[in-house]
Amino acid sequence: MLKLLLFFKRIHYALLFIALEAIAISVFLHGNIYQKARIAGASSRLVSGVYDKIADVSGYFGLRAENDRLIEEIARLRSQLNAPRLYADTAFARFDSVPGLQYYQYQPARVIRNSIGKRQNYLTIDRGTLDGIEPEMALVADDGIVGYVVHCSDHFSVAVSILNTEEFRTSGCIKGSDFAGSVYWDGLSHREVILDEIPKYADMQVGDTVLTTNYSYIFPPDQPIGTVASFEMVNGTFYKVRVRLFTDLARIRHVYAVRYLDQEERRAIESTVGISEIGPRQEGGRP
Amino acid sequence: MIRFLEYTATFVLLLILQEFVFDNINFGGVVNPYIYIMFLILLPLDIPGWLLLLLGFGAGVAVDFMSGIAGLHAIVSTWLAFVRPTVVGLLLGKDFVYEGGIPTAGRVGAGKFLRYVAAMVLLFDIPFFILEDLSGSVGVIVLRIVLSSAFSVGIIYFLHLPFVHTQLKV
Repeated sequence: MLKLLLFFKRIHYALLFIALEAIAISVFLHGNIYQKARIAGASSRLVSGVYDKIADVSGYFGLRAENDRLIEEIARLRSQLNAPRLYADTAFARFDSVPGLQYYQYQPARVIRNSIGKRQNYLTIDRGTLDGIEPEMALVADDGIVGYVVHCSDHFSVAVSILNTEEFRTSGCIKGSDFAGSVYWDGLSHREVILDEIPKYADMQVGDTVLTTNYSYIFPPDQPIGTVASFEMVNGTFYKVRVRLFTDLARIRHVYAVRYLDQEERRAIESTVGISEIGPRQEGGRP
Repeated sequence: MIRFLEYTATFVLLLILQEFVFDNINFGGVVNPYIYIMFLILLPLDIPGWLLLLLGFGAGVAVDFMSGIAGLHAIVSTWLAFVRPTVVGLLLGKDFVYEGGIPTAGRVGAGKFLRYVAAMVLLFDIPFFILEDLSGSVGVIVLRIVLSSAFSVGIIYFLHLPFVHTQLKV
């Protein structure tokens, strides 16, 4: 017995190490996106509070650029107002504000925490459940998609950034063509994402615009993503396209949280025939 | 007791620096300095093994909670705590371990201290950047390890300077 105790005393260091590592590794391996989001949410109360204050102060230094951005946005919206016919006749009619035709609801939010240097990047915005934010709402900026919400507390929400190699996936297409592929980040540059599995019949050129598609439960269709920077044929069967993002994720301050009003209904009806996953990998790892 | 308070204060300060300053640094997405491990580097040399492991684990869990990646920091910082006695024995020598006290450039010599910090930073960064990006390309991972480590060693050396004179006789 004494020998056993002495033996344990001698190897207690290694035993403790193994026990602690086992805990950490099991959390790392089994922690799925929801657990991770909960952890981020738990930390967000303290940390987000501080980031909120920092954003308050640093916001002043960007006021001029912010004004320019708003004026551009107003100009863009005005030009849409002056072309009602165009929007009534096309898919853009979805954005019509007439009740009953509205599919997407926009709501402004401020980014108070953001990272671009990791592999799994998240954003925190200063709106939470009390402001009507819910998981699976899209985040878009004026000039492109940014991410989607995964967890909300009362006053803050954590979102998966488009710069997230594991948890972000959506579908995208070249403007003017019907061929869709999946959009994901390969972790190389915070200005570029990959548009993969575009059929070889697709016709594209460097500089073409890449948009979101109708396939997503989260992102509105025809939202800009970026432009084709380069593309290569893989195995002679499909194109792998490098897309330069319109949005500079490093500088992003303001986003819109977008609620897809028919999300639940569409998910329910599509799941009845087993196509709840239009493209099983469309929305990164989501059920 | 005073030493305990000093270490707690250092740890909290490092966590704050990590979260609000160094997590926001990245040059082209390849430099991510993790400087909170300076806490493990500067612990007394004669610290009991079990305490070292628990502190390593605790530091990792704290950073995990702030950064929102579950488990990753805990895995790697526990590992770093585990190998520290070996690194100290090999690079600083057994004499310092018997003496105890914190390792600083003033005590062990700048060259030795830099080698020690570099070894510790590499032992942290190599598994960290591999685990963070399991499916990533080798070239990018190597680049991140090399650049982040070089940056971290510089920052940690700079940040430890206040300890050089005040803590000599601990």
